[in-house]
Amino acid sequence: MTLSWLSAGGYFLRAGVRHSRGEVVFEGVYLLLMSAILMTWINVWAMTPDSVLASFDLSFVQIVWYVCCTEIVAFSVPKLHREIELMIYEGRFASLISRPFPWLIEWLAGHIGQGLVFLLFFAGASSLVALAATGVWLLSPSVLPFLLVHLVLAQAIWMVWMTIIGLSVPWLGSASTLYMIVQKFAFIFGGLLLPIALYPGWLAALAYATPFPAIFGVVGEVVLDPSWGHFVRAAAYQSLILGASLLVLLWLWRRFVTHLLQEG
Amino acid sequence: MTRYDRLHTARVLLHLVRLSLWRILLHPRRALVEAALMLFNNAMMFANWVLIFHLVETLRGWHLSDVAILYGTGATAFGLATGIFGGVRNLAFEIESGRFDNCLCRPVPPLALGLSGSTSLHAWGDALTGPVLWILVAGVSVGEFGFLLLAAVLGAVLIGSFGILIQSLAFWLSGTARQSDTLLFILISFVVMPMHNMPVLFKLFLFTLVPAGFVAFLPVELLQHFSGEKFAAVALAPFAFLLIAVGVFQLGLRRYTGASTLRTAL
Repeated sequence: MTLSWLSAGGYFLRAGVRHSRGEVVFEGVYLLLMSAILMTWINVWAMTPDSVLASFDLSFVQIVWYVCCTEIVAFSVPKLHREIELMIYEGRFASLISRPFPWLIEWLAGHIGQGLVFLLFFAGASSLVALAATGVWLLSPSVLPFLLVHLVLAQAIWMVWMTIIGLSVPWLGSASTLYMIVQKFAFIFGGLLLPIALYPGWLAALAYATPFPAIFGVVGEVVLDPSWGHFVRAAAYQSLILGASLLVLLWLWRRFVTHLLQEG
Repeated sequence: MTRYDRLHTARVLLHLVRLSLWRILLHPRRALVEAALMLFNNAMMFANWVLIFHLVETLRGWHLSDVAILYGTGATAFGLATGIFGGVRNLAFEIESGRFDNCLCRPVPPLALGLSGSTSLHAWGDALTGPVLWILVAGVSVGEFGFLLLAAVLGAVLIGSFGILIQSLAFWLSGTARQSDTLLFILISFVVMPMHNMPVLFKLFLFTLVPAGFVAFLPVELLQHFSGEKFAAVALAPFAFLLIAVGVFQLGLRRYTGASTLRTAL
């Protein structure tokens, strides 16, 4: 049973990759938006005195690469909550849950496959922006596998959270409101635009009490500390958050199916 | 266009603006919640600036209050543009789906109808962001508040014009509806960021092709050091872009209503 599920999950992952290869052409405008956002924040860091960054053992080059890495996650995950919301309102779930294969695995595997293509697409573009802004290629060949692992785990966590938000529609009526709140908390507490180490102590403690640093901060920290020790710690932290997030998702999924079967 | 036509268009536009505002009153509680959420959303985004100014005192002479004015003016301009003329974000969808035909057979200019066909409740939260930041963070005087409100209205005209321009691309290119809103957000991402350290060529780009500099950056500079030329630029640029946008829209409309659109119908 488990093997056949794994094999089917692999099929949906490959299907997601194939599907997104065609979609990636349409992502060109998002690429422009990402470049615009990166350029404006790079400009802000360029105006920051070097002494300020040096007091945190950071340089302009590192902070630019940090922001460019975190933005990859922010841009490469499609708005899954919106898709689920549409599926709920169009009544498509009834047929999906009656299949012999768990919809949740199909959904996540397909989107992780799709996300992998977007991830490589945005990672390439983001690295070019960082290279153009700093004139330095900070990602040595030994760091690239670390970055890839962190990016895939971060993307998976963010996708699980978006799915959780989408599945909450029967109780909340709309997913966009909750998404907006969670997304902004994720940006601030995740360290999207500046490393959490630069936050005031109380805010950093608050940020680490949330799952969001595993989505953004950890990915950017690869360029700040590219050691094996940091990689192992960070990947374990991300895996823990992913596991906990999946448990929340499973719990919500059961409640969602019950709700669907009882109330339609 | 005769003088009567112009007056009629102005009256229709005013009526449509009133209708947009009434739409909010239809669901006051929902409008309040959505506006509050957008205000919260903007506050969270602005929190990044608070964090940065926790590290540095100034960014090349700019303080947190200057960024608050910049961010607030940009947000209010965007909120006014999309709150009153919600169509500025989905005109391309209407054109691509052919639903824009509904705007053609009425005794009202199609652009005015297309723009005012929808309103966004979130937008009013954006519109409120400016006054909140101007008063609470920047502590502006009454005179400055009035000036910033004027700048936001002018900025709304400019953002609206840019919106018309990019949404009009749907007359020529198919499949642009999905991208038009993203293009508008490229403008917005530049509007709310300080650009005084940017290279000259890039600044030129931000005052011509993507005219973000006129919306909030120049008004902040005017508050710091008033200059007649800059004021003229802030006051006139929106109307220049409006003329261009309406011109492009009319060109596209001619194509839309011509035989070339038969292929869409087929």
